[in-house]
Amino acid sequence: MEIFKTASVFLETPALLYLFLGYSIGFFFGAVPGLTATLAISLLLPLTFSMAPVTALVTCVGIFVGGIYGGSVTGTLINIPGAPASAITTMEAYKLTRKGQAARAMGQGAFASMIGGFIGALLTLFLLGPIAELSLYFRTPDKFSLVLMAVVVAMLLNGESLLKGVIATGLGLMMGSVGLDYFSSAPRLTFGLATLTQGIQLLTVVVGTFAVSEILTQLNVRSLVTIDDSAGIGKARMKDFLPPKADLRQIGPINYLRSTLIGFVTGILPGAGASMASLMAYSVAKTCSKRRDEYGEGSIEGIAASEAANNAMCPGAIIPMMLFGIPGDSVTAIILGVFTIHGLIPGPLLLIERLDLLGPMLLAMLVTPVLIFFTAVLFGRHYLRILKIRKSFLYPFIAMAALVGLYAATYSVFQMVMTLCIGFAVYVLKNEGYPSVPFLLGFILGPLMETFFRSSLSISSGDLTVFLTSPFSLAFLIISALFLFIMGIYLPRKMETARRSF
Amino acid sequence: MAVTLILALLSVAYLFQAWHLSVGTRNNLGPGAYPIGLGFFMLFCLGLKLVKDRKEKKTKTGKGLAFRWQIWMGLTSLGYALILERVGYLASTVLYATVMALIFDCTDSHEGCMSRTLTAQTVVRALLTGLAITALGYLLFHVLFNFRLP
Repeated sequence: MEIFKTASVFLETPALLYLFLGYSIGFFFGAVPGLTATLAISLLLPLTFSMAPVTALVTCVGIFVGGIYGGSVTGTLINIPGAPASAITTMEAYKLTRKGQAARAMGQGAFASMIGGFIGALLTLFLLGPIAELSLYFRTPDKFSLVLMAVVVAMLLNGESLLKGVIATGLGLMMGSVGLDYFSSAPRLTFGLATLTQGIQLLTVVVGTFAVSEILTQLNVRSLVTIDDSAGIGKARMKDFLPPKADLRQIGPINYLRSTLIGFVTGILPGAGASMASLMAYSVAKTCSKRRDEYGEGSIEGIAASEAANNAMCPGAIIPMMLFGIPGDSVTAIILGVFTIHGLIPGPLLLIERLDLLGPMLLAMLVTPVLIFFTAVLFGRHYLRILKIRKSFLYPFIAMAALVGLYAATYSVFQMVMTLCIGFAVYVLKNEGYPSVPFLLGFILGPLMETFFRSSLSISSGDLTVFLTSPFSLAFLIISALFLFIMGIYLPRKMETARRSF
Repeated sequence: MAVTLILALLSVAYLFQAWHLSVGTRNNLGPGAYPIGLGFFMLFCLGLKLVKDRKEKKTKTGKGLAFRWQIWMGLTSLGYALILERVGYLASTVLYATVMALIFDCTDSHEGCMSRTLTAQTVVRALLTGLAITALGYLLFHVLFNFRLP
């Protein structure tokens, strides 16, 4: 019954139109090298103030999913991945393009994206309820350990250097602690600035981190000299984008399903993101394949594994964000901002109390993967035209939209100046190899972690063993310690040994 | 190395601010406990990073020319943020978008930024881009999303 109610809300509101609009924007931002879905959604964030919650959330889903798929299109056609998550797909798909099989590669990419995204969304629909019920048993110390685990994973899974990931997260934690103290309402760390008393807004940090810093980065990147259709995609017919039966047989349902599961689980891990999902699924597919020699030379199995995984990551990342306020990646971190703007507080009760809003969002996650496949078949041969837009129009527009959007949402010049400062700082840090995603996750998770820690100690009269006596808390702490050991000690040592012997 | 030092200085300033806050007791932690712990943790990590930087002795190649445009863009955007409320959306955005289009046109030039002279044609194209961006922004924020623009 609830499903029918949700479906009717989805169809009554202009949600489908917004979903398509969001998908198109996400696809465009994903496809143009240098632009990402994160940037698109950070530009949208201020606009959601004036949108109805259903349309805002549905548009976010469209951008999220469209951005992930869009990245693989330019990778397939011109060997430049539009988004980092498409690097693995690009490696295989461009080889097929060179062999004159661009439509086959794009069609398979879209088909695997549809399978991964659709099954991932189904898994989310089925698992949200049981996980929400389980999370009702979580007490405050359990919540602290869960957030701590998210912070540890975010620190470890990003960037080229472990230490830089830790420092970036620490900077986010520091920034998140500025403003009124949650317990005593005393202003802290404001450096004497009255405007900082209310703390630094998520919107300001998001626009600075992803929009301003990206525009600064793009000043170093030149446009492609010429974009010619050497792949011959403009001459392809619709049926060329439909995956042939032989390809489907070769890939097999196990590969699709396994990659989907890998992507889905990776999505649940905070900060892991689509790049890691696609890399892991590709590596496993290669290990299990009978045609290992084809990998790296244009393997259709490799494309399927990578695309199914990075699209299954999207619905997976929604679960911790919805139930615990812990974002799975940078895009869900910004979607969390949309939740905050519309007064939606993440937690198990959200599912019961606001199913009217979340239902359409979850339905949108089911519909968008299908949209990927059908738009690829219908418009695939026109995709190369996206790259013909002038950079000297695109980036000034993005800069204007970022600043005016922030002003329109806050009516504060101070927030605009603040976002520019943050953007400049993130640009400098990114150039030094510091990752930006742990910084944002640290900023979001820091206040949660502090609140749960202080509440836990108050409840237990200062007894620190409270974190070890609860089974959930203990489990989260053990997982954190395992992550710390594997990613922080074991793997770096192994890599160092391998490097020396090489 | 310079970035690590700046971050360390920032952490010291953060720790200094936190130092004046109450730490509280174990069963009732004050607002200063978490920032003080975090400040020391950051200083420890940045200390490790400094040692690592010294060991690696990285010789960085400068990005002087490109960085110059980042400063230009930063100053232009800062100017825009400061005049937007006073001058109003239309005039300030036309000016901002035109200058930004000129900057991007220049940095995108394959002959290199310095060798390119500013022709009347380039300026007119940037101005047209500025006008188009302003109109698009007005449609998006004011007409479509009903925001009150200055």
